[in-house]
Amino acid sequence: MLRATRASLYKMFHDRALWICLAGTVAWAMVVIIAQVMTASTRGISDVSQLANRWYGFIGLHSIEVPLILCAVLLFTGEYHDKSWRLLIARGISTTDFYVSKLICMLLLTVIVSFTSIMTTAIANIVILHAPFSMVYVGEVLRFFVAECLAHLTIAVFVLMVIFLVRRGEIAVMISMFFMVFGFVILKGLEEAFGIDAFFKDVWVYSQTAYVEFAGPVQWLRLCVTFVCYLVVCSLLVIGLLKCRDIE
Amino acid sequence: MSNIVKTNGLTKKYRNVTAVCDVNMSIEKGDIYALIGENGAGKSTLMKMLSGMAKPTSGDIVLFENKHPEVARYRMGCLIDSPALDTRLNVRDNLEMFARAFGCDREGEVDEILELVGMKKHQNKVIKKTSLGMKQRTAIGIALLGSPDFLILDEPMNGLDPMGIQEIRQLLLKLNAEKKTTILISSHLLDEVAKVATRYGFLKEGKLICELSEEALAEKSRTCLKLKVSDAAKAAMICEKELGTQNFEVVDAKTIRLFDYVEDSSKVVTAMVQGGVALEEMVHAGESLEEFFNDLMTGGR
Repeated sequence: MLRATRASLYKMFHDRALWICLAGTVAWAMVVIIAQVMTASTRGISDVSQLANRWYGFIGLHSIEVPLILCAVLLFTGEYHDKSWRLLIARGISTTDFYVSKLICMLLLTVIVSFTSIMTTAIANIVILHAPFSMVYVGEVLRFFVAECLAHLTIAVFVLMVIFLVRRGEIAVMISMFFMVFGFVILKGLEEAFGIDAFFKDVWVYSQTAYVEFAGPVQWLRLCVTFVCYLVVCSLLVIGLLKCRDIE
Repeated sequence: MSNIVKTNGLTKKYRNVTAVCDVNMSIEKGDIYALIGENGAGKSTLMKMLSGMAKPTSGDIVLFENKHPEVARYRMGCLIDSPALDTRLNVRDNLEMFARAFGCDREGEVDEILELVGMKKHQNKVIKKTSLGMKQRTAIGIALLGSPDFLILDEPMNGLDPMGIQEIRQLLLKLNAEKKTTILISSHLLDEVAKVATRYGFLKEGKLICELSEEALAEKSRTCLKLKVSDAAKAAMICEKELGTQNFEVVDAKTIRLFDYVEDSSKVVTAMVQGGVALEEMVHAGESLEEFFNDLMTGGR
């Protein structure tokens, strides 16, 4: 497993897709901050420093699912497309080791993307929005980072499962985006139709970021339990499937 | 001599199609085993099963005398179908990545392989922008990482220029001679295969119809007179008594292969006619692996 993980990490850090994704994440965070400043007057905010330390200063973070999905698909469907993963299997690396190595990379990628986005926003908050730099501020950013990570790691596990199930990059993007945009609405509709309230839609993978706000309370237990549940269920599903499929 | 590969009743079915049917083959240490067959004969499927890419429908595989092939596969290097490389990474990064995966990333290993397959000067080229021949060389390089004891090479000469084919051939012979690397190779370039192989397996419609050593093939494919006669048994007696030779082989009730008198066939005709055997056809046969293969596939043997 260690060998497969080392190879996957090497591949991830030598692939331009990662660096393009990180550049995109930084750009997106900057766009959100600049848009906040430019539209401040239309919302009756005369002093931009009033935007600082507010959760909407970090609103762009909730949108990192898009670069995350695109980057994951670029990084992890390549092996299927190029059939290069067959060489690993032919050298005795099990399909489980292969999946776990990709899972580790995916989780690391999510942490890196979240960290990049949060750090960019935090610095922009200080520089552009004149947020006071203090230990309280740093503590808030760190707390927000961990909570955002937990929510995005859940999404990462789900997206990786989609990639392993469908194997085709463009289809994996379409399915992931579809679930991101319509998943909550569909579940809400189904819950209402069957008279069940606030269960499935609340544990829905893409709902998790809604429970994270900057300088707001964090439902740590909910985030942790949801992440672990998605991790176990998605991993078991993929490992089971890989065991019965031929390596194409 | 120890067995590197031994299969027992190996079968692979895809829905209603049987790609490989009841194959019992053995490859011994030091062999260069050529798998020969038409397109769709099951060569790649058989190689995929040996390398763990396809699960056998029935039958079993013993690798390095280990009944758990998945444990023994770290000693194998593979190139199956098209070169399976990460197209966004460059040549060197591909080798570095697989070296880490195979646990053979000692310092200098990748440089040695790049040198060996002639890709040193192209090491920084992104795979997407390389020619098929370069991809093939890189894929062979990956197969050679960690000095595997057993190489599976499916069509390794594909896309290579004549110089490249020659280099790869010499490389395989060198690995076999110096490191006793066992090689399983398939290729449609029969003349090239004949230059390296020490054993042959012929596949037809998923079945291993014939397994021969280099010597046996040389014996079978050596120049002979192939006679179609009214009675092969009687013709055999004429060969022994009238022509004074035992250097012949009765193929079936009406066919006999005579390895003497190849340049003096008139004596054979005379002896057969005088002995009362009707000679329906007489041809010179068995000059190359290609002819032997054609004969085998069309049922002439």
